[in-house]
Amino acid sequence: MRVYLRTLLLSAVLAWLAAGTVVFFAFQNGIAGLKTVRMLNHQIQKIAASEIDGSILLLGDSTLRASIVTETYSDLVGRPVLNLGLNGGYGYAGDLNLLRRALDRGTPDTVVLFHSTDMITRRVAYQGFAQSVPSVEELAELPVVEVLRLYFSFDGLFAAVTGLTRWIFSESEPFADGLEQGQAMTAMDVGVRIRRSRYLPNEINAEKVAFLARVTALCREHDLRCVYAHGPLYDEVCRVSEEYFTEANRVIEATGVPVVVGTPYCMPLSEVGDSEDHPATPLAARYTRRYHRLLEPYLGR
Amino acid sequence: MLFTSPIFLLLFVPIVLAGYEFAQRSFGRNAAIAWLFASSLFFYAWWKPVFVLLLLASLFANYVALRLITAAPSVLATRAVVAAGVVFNLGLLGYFKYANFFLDNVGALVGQSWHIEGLVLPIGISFFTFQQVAMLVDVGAGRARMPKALDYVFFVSFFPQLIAGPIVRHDELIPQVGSGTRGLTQENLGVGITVFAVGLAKKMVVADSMAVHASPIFNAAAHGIPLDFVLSWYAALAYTLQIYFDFSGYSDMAVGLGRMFGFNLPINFASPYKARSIADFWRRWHITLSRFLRDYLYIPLGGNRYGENRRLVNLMITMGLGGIWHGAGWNFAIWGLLHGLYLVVERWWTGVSQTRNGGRGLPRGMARLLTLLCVVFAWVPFRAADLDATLSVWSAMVGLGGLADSPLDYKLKAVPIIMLVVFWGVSLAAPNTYQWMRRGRAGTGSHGYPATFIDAPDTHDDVRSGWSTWRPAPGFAVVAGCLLALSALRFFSLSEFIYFQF
Repeated sequence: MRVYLRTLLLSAVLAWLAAGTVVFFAFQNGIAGLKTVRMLNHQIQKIAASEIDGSILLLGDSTLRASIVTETYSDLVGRPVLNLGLNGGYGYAGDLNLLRRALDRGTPDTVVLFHSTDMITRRVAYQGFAQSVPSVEELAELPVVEVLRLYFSFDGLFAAVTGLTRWIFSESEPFADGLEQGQAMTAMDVGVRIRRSRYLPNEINAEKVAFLARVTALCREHDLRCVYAHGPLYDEVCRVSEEYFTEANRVIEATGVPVVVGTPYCMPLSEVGDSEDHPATPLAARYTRRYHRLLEPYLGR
Repeated sequence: MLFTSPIFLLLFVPIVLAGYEFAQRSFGRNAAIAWLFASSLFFYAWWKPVFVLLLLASLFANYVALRLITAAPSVLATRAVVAAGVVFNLGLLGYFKYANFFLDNVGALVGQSWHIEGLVLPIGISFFTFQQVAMLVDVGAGRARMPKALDYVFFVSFFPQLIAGPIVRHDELIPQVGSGTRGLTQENLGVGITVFAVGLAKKMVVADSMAVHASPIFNAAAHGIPLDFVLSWYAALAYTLQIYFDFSGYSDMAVGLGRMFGFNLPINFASPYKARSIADFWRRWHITLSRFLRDYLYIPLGGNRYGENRRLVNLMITMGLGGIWHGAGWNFAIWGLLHGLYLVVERWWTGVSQTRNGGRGLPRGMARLLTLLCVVFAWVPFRAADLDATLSVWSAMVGLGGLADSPLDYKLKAVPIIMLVVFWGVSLAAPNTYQWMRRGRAGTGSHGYPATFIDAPDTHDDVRSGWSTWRPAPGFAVVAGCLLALSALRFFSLSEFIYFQF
């Protein structure tokens, strides 16, 4: 029985470490089966293949991908636009790392940070940070528990195995900038699908703000023109969250970035897509024009 | 403290094991049991320290009642003390668990809103109350002897079974305390860790994976979104697996933990979805609750001693109260009563088949399938948020919502469906934990529950049994180790056990 116990404990430790190694390899090489990792990989490749100098860089989450059609916006502003939208799981951490990667290749004219209206209330996206860091050594600055949560996780292993299988046996699917949305919200399921019926000022997460401050500090360091735009929000929630937006704008601007006046845009239910902060897919071009008008005063000539 | 949390597994258990061995070797049996009692209180306090006082008060009051019973001068006095003790225990349970349910319903009847704010259900109260009630009744009836105080508090509070069972009987645990054979041995650790690993994997790998698929659909039903045939059956089948692997996984972990310390706890699940009848299901599902209800409710109500009609009424009462024990809500009552109704119909059908075809019932496969369908159907009110949601899921399951016409934005994907099929295959065809572990003699059987009596194989069939029976060989150690590792990958996305809320 002594041999049995030793073998059991040793195999448990080895299997656990092996699982973590597989996930680490798959995530850091962008081959995990998670759609989010493929999306990140797509955006990193886009940076490598694009002209950064003089472009308008759009950084943000799924709200950005749902609201701005890159080609339409590029036509409207008459200059190259690089849409690097990820999703809420990356948050400001994704902005920071993609901006750092982009700055290694050139200097954009304007950087627009375009996020869901509640982004500043969410928990810090350590996992998003870990996945998107330009160099592995930077993982050392993460809390240990977050590293464990990312690489030693059941879902991570599942994604890694799926991704590795796809990597070995099939071509990777191309990834589109636009958001592939589920069914649009209807009046019947508003109550089911909205995350919060009202945002409150005390929900703002100071840690999250600190991460945003790292992005804006990078803007200052490189003398970049950076602006912050709230994405659209279902008007029933938008209208009752005025106090929140006043405080959120104050906090965001205190980090050194102006908030685009007129944002958030409050959407009627008929324009809401699959979540309260996504405009319906057929309306994306209309929202692009709408946001173009709001952003125009902040862009360089 | 959850059994599945790193702090429990990597700190609490090793420290308690080491302390137990040290106390046993240095100071003897009583010190070791006292250490386990103190550790159990710490374990309980981890959730809400104040409720340790409630547990201690309950232990104290019950022990005083036991002393009074043994000192009672007459049968009448004994009965009075037993009755007072039972009322005290049920009163405590009733206050914490049912007061708001009662007030809400009475208030609704009279058009008032009555509610006790801030009333929190102390975790595990349903379980330790039943253990103490059984002890009081049995000592009062002369079926059990007065235990020593330390043995008694240990029996009630032993942490592996304190929060969510198994509902251990005094005659199962207390004699083991005095047997003098307890202590850490390599065999107990090897068997205990392996059973624990199996239970942990059942919870972390299977139950939590199924929850991801069942919950969104049941939640949608709770919000009034109509379901269809495919989604409703998908959710019901996923939840049926979730609750089995969740609770039986917890019970396996409890049995495994007990065994690490040298104590054998009763088997709580014995392949319930292989049952051939509803009565058989209840001899395989939550066995320690089933036998408690049989011994302390159904039989005292008269059982089958007063004719067939009374028997059926007793069955309905027992199952209805068994349902309510699971939670203060009408849905649980419906679940219990539905099972009661199943048992009544089954009794009637058995009578009919006796007279018509000499007792030959349905073919075995059909009986299993029918039983399973009834069980799956009954899990709907158990899971659904309320009666409206229950009816919504049920109506979709019988086809009233169309085949695949639900407006719910939920896409069925290949991998979860494959997982569902595999886990159902395991539930229906694979040996259960105790059959697989029969060489390690894990868990004890319960009289009247034949599936819990598992013969240990003779020592010569090691090779023939292949992988179908565990043995302390390196290959099995690697399997158990991998199960532990796989489960540990869920450490950072912990979910509570379903039965904690009861």
